[in-house]
Amino acid sequence: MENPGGPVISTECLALLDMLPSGIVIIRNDFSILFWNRCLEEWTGIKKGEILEKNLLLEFPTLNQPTVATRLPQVFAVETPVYLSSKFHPHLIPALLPDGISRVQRGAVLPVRLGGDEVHAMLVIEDVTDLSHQITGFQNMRDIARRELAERKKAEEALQIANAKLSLFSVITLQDIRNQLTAARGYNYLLSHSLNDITEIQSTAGKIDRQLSLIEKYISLMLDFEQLGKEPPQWYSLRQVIKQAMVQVQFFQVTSGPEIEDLRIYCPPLLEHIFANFLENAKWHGKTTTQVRISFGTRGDTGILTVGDDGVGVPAQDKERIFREGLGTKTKLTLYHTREVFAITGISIRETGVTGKGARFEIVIPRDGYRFMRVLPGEKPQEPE
Amino acid sequence: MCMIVDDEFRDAITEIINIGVGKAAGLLNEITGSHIQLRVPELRLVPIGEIADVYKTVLGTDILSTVMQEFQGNFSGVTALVFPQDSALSLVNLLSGDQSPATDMDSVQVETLKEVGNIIINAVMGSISNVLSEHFSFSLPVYYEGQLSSIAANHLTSEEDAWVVIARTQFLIESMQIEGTILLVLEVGSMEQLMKSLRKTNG
Repeated sequence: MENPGGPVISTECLALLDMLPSGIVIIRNDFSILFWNRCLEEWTGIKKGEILEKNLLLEFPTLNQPTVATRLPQVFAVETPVYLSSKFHPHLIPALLPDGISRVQRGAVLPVRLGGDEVHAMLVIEDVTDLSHQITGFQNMRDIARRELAERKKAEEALQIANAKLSLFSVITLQDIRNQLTAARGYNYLLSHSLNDITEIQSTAGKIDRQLSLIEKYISLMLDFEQLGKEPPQWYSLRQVIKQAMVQVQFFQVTSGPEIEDLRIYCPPLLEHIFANFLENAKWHGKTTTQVRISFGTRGDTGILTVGDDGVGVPAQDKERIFREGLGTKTKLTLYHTREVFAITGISIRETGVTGKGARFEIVIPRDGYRFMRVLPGEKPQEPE
Repeated sequence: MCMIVDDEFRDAITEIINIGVGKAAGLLNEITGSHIQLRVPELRLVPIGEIADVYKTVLGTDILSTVMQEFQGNFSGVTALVFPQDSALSLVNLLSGDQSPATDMDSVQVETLKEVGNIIINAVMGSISNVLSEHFSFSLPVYYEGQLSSIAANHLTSEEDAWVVIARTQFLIESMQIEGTILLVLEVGSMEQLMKSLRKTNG
């Protein structure tokens, strides 16, 4: 094969290679080391005298991989240069920086001649540690910014949905208030025109008072709904939410597994009211309830939060009906509202309990809607992260 | 300029390139740990002046990421691996296992693409060198991005009469298909020299 006149390195050039700030090693086609520059001596602590004539691949297992070793023969045979990126070969010849960090390297293997016709391979290694760390740092910053942007976008979308639901809730609640007012007006008419007996008057006045209480409850509910339209969804510590709900309802027979401890759920405001509603339902509708149990598990990537009690349970024919609009007068927030509020962040809920053995609400949370993070001492509950 | 290219030549060069990409696929499998298949389903020969139009027809864009290596020998030119920019990024991310949602390549990703290009170009040129018993010297891979017409004029060749072998190349990686092309840009006179070598080899 004719010599095409590829790079020829003279003895003077070798002296020059000794001064370059890149690692340079020249090998014969049996991989024995012919030249080892000063830079490599500094990087590895291995002096020329210790390494010359040794087999490069046997000395450095990082190079004795098929991804490098199988490409070296073509440098000698076909004289094609081989490029070795830092992504696939970050530590060609392992070397530490003074602070103990491994140097990140990239390299190229070039065919060279040292005077004669014999082709040698020159491995040139660049230290790209700084560049690599800068890029990693930039990528991390970019990923954080991207995540924050995605979270903000998600929150804005959820807020839009929440506002749409808020309008719907307002219409429903105002309709309820109007119904109670109509009833109260009817009772008031009776008081003014038809009733003379003191017992009947007292009973009718009591009915008017109950209507007014309901109106008060609905107004309070509307004020709570206001939060939905103002505040975007946040990450809530479930442990804190349960604690507050227990205090709100004054029902303390609640147990939860250790998995609840660091669990956080991405949900619109009102999660505390939703859990208070579960506890109130258990207390009022469960009739024989002595305990509520809250647990969390996963099904694939999906989070499954269950709230179960040992009360009478929900009759089979009512399992879906309980989520309908207008049901639930004992509690402030109904299961209809619960389902609608959960839906804002993609959470769904259904009743899966066994009639006679207790109610069981299964809350299905998408993968990006739950995470585990310890509540820090002194951290305020329901603070956005 | 008129160039008569018979089917025999086209078949022979397709086969040589296929041998090369087959070897490259094996090496890429080793490096990335992914199952990669490389195919060259189509090969065309066009004058350099028509390359941008042809390329746009084949891949639907002429904004490209390119890794290229010059070669010199009995016939000379440039071998390039060319991708639409978004395909180049997808390929690098797939091969390196990154999930970068970025639209621009950073220097580590450029390096990675340069190594991939180097593997494929070396394999193809090694295959040509072996089959034709021709000897070449090569430059290290370089990376360019931009419009193909500009890359062609500034980095592939300044000769208006040069010819280009365009080999469509499909990368099949983990049920994804990424399409690029291998360009073999031959200087004036080199195409005739390549055909002569092939005829000589085929007897």
